Amino acid sequence: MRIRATAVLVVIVCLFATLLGRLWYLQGVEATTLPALAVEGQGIRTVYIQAPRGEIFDRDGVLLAGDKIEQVVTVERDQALAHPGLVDALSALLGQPSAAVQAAIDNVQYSPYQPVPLPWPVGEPVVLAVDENQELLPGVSVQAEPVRYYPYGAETANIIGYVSQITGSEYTQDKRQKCGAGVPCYQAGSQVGQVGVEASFEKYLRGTPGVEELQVDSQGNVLGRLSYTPPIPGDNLVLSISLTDQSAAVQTLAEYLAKARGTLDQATNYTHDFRAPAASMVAEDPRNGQILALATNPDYNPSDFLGAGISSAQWAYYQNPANNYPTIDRAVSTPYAPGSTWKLITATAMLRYGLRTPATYYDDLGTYTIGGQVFADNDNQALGWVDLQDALAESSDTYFYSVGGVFYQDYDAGRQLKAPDPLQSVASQYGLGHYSGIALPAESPGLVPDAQVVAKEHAQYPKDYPDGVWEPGDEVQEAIGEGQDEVTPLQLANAYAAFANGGTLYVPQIALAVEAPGTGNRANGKILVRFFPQVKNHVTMPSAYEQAAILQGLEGVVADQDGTAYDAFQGFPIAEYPVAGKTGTAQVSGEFCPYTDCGPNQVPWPEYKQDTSVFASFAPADSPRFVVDAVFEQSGYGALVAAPAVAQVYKTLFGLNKPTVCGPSDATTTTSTTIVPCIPPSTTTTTAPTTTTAATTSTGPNGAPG
Amino acid sequence: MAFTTLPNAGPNTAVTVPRRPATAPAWHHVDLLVIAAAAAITAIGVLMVYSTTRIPLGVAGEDPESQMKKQLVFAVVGAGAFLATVFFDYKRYLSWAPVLYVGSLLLLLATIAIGRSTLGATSWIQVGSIQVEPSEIVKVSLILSLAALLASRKGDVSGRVLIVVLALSVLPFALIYKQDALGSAMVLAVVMIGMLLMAGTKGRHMIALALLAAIAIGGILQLGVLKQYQKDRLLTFLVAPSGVGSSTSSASPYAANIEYQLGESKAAIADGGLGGKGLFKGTETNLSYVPNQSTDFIFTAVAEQFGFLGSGLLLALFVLMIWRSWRAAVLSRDLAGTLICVGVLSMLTFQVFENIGMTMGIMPVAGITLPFMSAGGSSLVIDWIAVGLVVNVSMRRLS
Repeated sequence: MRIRATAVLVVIVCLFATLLGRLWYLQGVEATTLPALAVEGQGIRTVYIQAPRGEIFDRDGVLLAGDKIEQVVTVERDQALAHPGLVDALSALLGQPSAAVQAAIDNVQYSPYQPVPLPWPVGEPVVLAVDENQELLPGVSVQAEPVRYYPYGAETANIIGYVSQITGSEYTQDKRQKCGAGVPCYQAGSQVGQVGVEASFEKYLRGTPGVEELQVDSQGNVLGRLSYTPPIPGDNLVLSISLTDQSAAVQTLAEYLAKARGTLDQATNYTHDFRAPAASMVAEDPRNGQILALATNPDYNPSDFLGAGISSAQWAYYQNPANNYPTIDRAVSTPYAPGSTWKLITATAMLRYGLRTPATYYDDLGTYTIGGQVFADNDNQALGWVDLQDALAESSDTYFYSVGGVFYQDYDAGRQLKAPDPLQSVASQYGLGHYSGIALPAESPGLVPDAQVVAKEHAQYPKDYPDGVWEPGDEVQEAIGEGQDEVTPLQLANAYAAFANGGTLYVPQIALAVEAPGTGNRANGKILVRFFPQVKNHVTMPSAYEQAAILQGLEGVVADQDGTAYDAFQGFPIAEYPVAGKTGTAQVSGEFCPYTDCGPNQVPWPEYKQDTSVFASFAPADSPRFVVDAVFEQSGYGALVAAPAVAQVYKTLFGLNKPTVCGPSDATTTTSTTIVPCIPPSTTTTTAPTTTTAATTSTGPNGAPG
Repeated sequence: MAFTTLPNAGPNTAVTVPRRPATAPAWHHVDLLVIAAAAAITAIGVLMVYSTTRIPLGVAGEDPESQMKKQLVFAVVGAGAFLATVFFDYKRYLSWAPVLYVGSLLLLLATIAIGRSTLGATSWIQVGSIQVEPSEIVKVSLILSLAALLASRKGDVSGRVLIVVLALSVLPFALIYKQDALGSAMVLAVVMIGMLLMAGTKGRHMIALALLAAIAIGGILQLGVLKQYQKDRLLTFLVAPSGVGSSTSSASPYAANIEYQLGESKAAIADGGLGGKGLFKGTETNLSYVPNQSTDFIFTAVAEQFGFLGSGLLLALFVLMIWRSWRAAVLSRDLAGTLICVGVLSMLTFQVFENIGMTMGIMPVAGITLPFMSAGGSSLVIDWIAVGLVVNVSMRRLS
């Protein structure tokens, strides 16, 4: 018995010793290991608050992108789950189908710990209704939310771009980025600049998210707030763009495209109007490379992309070829054969390499033959004896064909490196065939064809490029800006700017400075980062006298009666503001074939592509302050469309003419210019102007006011 | 500690208890230590019930102190029951044993018929506004019944008596098992074994009993007599990984729940570290991360908030209480008293070891309360009655 009693006591002691031992293991040994430490974080939920985004201003302080406070209806997810009738009540209140409301509430982009905002902006009546009917709408409230807002909409869309929710792949890429004190910059659902300066200056504009730490129990009930760090607003951006100049450019493009569409194309034997589907224009300051205007047509409404993203109907509209891809910025992304505007390059190369002097005369007989091929002036017109000035002013093709021929012969004789030859290296110095370095995405580098390029094309695509040899015809075509020459309107402007300022090729500058955040959509003025002009390259120029000769030729284009742009600048005060420029009419397809059986170089309609109308210029010619060029697709002669368009824009640049500025879309203040509401680009209901035989003035996507 | 009078249990030994003159009333020999230990543990229990329920109640919009107040009321009732138990000589209770036994069996039958369930066990009935848990009552009635029966044998436990004891124990065991309250059933088994051991059962009978128990356990687990969820509950603790958040892919959602519960429980304990997080400052405890924390897992509240030192102190209090019960068993004036105390200490030891062991992941999950601590009226009152029996025996040892 005694033994048994003792045994019982021993068993009891052993059991408790086991408990104590295990307790020591858990609390002494395991307490500092990872699983135990995880307990600390269990009750804490971190919520990130998106910072107010920086604003974007033009060079004069006009707001181009900002945040507008909108009333947004928010719904708590668990309330929507707990009350099945809530979705229908909301649907009735907002006038949206129940399925759409449900989908908006279920949108996984939004954090489950915060009320979900519904994407339809609401006005006073709905705000009051929500306030007064809280019992019927549990978990529903109205919040003032900052929403990105582009007062000038489509007019500045290609430059500004837009923000939208970060995509899955972007998030995977960027989620490790830290913004200040280890706060991750992006969450699922963050707004990110996608295109334009919203994208290229994202790091300045986005600010630093705020952090809120909440104490949460195991059911997800929020018990209290542990800490709060407010968000730091993003910095503001000041662009080099001038809104008045931009407006002028945008409206001029629309106006002249409409005119072109109403004009019959002589090259098609007057059987078709010009298609004129698209155009772009660049205005630049040659002294520093600052971009004053960068316009493209058709353009798009950036607000379509805001919030949770573009609707599929609208996206289909933008992707439909019949609508000419409004989201492409043709000034920067689309390269063209620039036609006779290339002659500036050829002239520079000719003089630098001493092929001719400015005073050397050449007999323009209308055609030029080399390598068994005949190249003709426009309409085989023989201009007679021309010197450099005449050749530029009247745009003599054979003068420049022959220069190309000489370059080819030198190349062929091995007197210089295989490639690039002088013409091509001068083109390269002028920035052609290279990225300009502008702080905008989707830039095209264009192409300066040479022997190496041709050989590579043949190697890669032998079927499309059966001839891998650099032929005389290639060089000769290159000399007048045809063939495979590819130049974007921006590159063209940069090249003319380099000539205008005596040989400095600048990196085109779109932003002037980054400023500290202001309040209430006003510029603050305190500069944090200033962007200075950057030299990209130097063009080795011929002598001052020879440069002056080129200049005289370019001035003659506008001032001489025989100048190709003389008529275009009628009504422009060239005496006070002398303009120097060059027209270009680039052939895209071969010859038009009106019949069904066509010759080898003949193209029937609708495969036939009409000529590109180009004009590049700078003014005032004696001390240039502006470079303006314009490229109109399938619009005919440079002199007839691009040149007068540029002339019209010069009026604004020189302050002779205030354009009617479109927008801002709900302006409450008046400025010195008349404000008309911006007409947003049309949606799926509008047909695009394409093949019409009757003259129609259809409203292009920019809503031409003229 | 010395044995004074030890009842000699042998077949031919007459049990003699030296008679002493009644020098001092029994009240002078009340064991204050065991009362103090029980009272201390009860007080800690009330505080822990408060700390584990105040936030969930608050969040649900109710009075955060309501559970604590209920527990206080039960403590007062328990105190009353204690006094009542102590007042009369335990001989009287032994004479009531048959009535108590049959009465508790009837209550068990009633529970099966009209009982309410919580957490898978149909174990309590509503009497007016009170919830009564008959499985608790049957613990005490079985202790008294077995004490009465075995004491009358005066240390000679023949095979026939053994069978009778088994039969008496199996009945309530089966009824409780029917209610799916497996834990309470196991308590009865332990009580029976402990009391048999100290009643003088022959060694070979004990070994046979142990073998029988082993076969029974093995058979139950293998033959599918247990439902899946019961198996999950019993065996998950073997595979559950320690720490928060991790879980093995379990076959059933029930097992996954258990794993989660054990994970949170161990994490809460580990979080306490050496000195604890401080009252109301434990993350797990105060943010309701441990399921059933105010009842079966109440120990984790102590562990997280008061750490190793606090938990050790609590264990020491339990050890004190159990040791005093053991001492009362040894010093008892008669075999009946010894057996009563042995029954009580078996019950307490097993419950404490199983409950705390469960929270630490070394014992299977079986829904047993921690004596004097877990929220719940029936168990608290019964525990005080049990302590009352022990005090009763010990204070009358010299009578």
